[in-house]
Amino acid sequence: MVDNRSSRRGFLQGTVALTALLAGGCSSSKEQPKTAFEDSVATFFQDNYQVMTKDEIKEVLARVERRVKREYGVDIKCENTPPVADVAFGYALNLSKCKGTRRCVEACVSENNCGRNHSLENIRVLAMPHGTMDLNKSDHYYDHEQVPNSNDWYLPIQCHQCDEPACVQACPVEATWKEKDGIVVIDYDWCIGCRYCSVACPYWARHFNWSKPNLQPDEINPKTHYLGNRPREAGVMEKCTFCIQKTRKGELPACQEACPTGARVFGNLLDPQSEIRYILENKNVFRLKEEQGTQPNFWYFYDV
Amino acid sequence: MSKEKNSTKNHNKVEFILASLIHCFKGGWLYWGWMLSLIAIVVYGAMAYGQQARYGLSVTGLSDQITWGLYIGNFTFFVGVAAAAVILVIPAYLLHRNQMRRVTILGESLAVAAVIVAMLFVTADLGQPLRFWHALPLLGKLNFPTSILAWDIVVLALYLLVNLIILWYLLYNKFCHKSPVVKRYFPVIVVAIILGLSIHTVTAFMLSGNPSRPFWHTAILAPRFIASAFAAGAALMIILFQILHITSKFRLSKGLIREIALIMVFAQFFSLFLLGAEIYTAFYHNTAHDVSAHLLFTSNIGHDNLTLSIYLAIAAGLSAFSILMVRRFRENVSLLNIASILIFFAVWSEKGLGLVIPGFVPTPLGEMAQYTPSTIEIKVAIAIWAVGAIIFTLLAKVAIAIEFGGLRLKRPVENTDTEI
Amino acid sequence: MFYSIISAALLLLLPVSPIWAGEKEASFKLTGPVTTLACKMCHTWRKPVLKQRDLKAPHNKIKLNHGAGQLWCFSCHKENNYANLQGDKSAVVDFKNPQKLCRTCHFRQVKSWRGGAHGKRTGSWQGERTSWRCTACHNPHSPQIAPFKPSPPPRRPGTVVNIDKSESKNGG
Repeated sequence: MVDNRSSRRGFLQGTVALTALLAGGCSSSKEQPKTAFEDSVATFFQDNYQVMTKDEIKEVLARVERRVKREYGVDIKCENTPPVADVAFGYALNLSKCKGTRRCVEACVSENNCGRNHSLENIRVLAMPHGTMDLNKSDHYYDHEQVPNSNDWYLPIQCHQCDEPACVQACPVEATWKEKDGIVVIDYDWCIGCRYCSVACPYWARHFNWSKPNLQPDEINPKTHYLGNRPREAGVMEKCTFCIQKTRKGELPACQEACPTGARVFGNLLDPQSEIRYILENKNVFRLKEEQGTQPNFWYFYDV
Repeated sequence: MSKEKNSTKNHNKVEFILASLIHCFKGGWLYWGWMLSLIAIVVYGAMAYGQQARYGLSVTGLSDQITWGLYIGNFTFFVGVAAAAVILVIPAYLLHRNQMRRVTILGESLAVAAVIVAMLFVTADLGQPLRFWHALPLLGKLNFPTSILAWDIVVLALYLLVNLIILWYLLYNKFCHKSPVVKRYFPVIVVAIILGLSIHTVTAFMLSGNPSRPFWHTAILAPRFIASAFAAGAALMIILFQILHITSKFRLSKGLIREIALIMVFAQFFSLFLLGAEIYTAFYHNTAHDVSAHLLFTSNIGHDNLTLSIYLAIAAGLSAFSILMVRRFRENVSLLNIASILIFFAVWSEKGLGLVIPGFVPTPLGEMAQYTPSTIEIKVAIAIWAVGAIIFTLLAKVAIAIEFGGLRLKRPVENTDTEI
Repeated sequence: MFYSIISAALLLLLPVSPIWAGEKEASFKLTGPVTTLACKMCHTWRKPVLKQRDLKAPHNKIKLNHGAGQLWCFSCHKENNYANLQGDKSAVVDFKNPQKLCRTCHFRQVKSWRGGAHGKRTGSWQGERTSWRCTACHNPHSPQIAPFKPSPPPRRPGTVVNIDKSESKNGG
């Protein structure tokens, strides 16, 4: 394994050096600012995030910042904050409280640098007619003057950060995996865009960048995470990461902050004092599509 | 001594490759007309692909709701063709049918062309095709054996490799005035047959291994794939052999065509039987599990084109089967041709489109979406078909020239060692 | 009439002071604006009407819609102690800790809220918990949350949207 890795790295570095040489032979001085071409060549030969060394990651983060500066003229900070020890994130959603305002969707899009006008939204709020749990009867596109509409109840769905994620199993190149704190992440620079993960996901939580995300410079959130909300390219998957750039620093996810009715509860499943643990222990909770066997970390409950 | 021998061998190999390449440029106006029109189609499609490369897959009709369409549908279909091309020669060896053995080489050529087409369709479907190296062993990080797609990559690559080895062995030996030794290449053919079954089984598993897509989540999918692949592969071969019979030195015997037709009858019977079993399960009860099938067959959400094509496919499959069942009809060349064409298109629309797309409707969140391939998508798909036709034409041209024509090494070879 | 004008004028001068207090209740911190009115400015020299009636100036800004007409100002405020809250059956309660009064009726909600299943936490998911107090979200005089205008729906696949000048769409 070690041999494989080092041989691979050797090969890659050799190729990078060779390409750079062919590209103009001017890569000898490290002081010169990197050109867009040099950066894209380096990104092409970049290794999978899971096997990169600290130095390589540092370089990669700088490259992401340079790319965004070049493409949007915005200075962003791209970090790779590691998981907090002894933390497993979980989410609970109070269906009695959700009124279908879609404020979570709005906040998610602007926090996570999702392309505007692409309908690329990592949360879907379903309007469900009273008296049924059949998702086929749901309305994704409700646009009433006022919510709650008297005929509906609302079911917001996003990534459930499963313990046995079908998407991770499906990915042919290990571009997606589950982190120690339970967040399922994607290495956007490694994803080949085959969309098999989105075929496998029972929650329709994975979305594809069909074209380059439409982002205006003033819409960019400059606080980014490599595995989270850094601006994506065309042709790669993306998903909800429980706002990894916020939550790994102790903040709450944008959807929880935006919810005007307090339907959303986020917390550490390993902390017995946390609110999410109170809910799991004191409320009648259920998980959507539990029969799919993916062990989701997202619970729904009602006020009793 | 051995050095000299090696250099002669290498020289022979170079001459084999050169002679084959030169032969590709020899042909009448029909050949050149055919090739040039295919090349024109490929160039036209490549321009369409250029658009896709520039603007992303947004130029296709695909969406997050229906994320695979024409490309993956064709991929599934061609994996079947590739598998059938080789599996069809099983009877040649099991039943000692020598007629079938003679067409092994054409089956291999078809398999190679079909696998390459299948691979091109997957590549066309990728959002980041340049990152294909992430799936290469050692260099990339192939998620094997967990991901079924990784399995598919592995078995398809192996299948291509094994078929190329067989083609090389058979043609190169013939070229060097030696007759191929069955004992030597038979084990490789067995490997190819196993891999042929594997590629189509794995492709079926790729779809059926998704509990979140109940339309595909059925154990019957893999057998159904194999059965329909046999039928479509046999149909394609019947047509191709007749064309080659007219246009080349390849000679088709009546016995051979009857044998393939017989295989087609059995395959088509199983294919229809399995489809019937599916339809029964889907319609006897009205469960949420079968919504996709209901939508497909009843066209409740404006899936009209798909519904029409699935009914046409079933009608075509049934009428072809009724033709083939009667021996007198089966042995009539024109009726057999009609049946073959019917089966080919029935399988293409039933498996290629009628299986992949309905699996996405409703989405796991119950959304009823629709899909119509965009012009760019159709152009790219046609171009990939053309690439397949070019590859098969070239391979078959060389293979027939060596096998049935007189394309041989100029100098006689002294040593009779068949080793390569 | 005269009194009304005087008291309305006085009311404008009153220190309406939202205090963002972080006083500790039980095991966690509370946050949210606490609005107190200096009732004594008038009600030292003008006796309040204890009987239920339609609210007139200077109280006409209060839309009382709590308890389906069963509740009245003096269900929660007491004549002798305007600086605090007090229900008919509750102890004297600080404005910063309204839950101690709310729970006389809404004991289920307050219990859920204490546990973390009602209301919401703010700031951070880790460390000491800070949650909004009842009155941060519910207007005590009209506690029902008003309906919302929903944010726009997602785009249906196949709807073409022009993105800059590039020919581009999502879905078809």
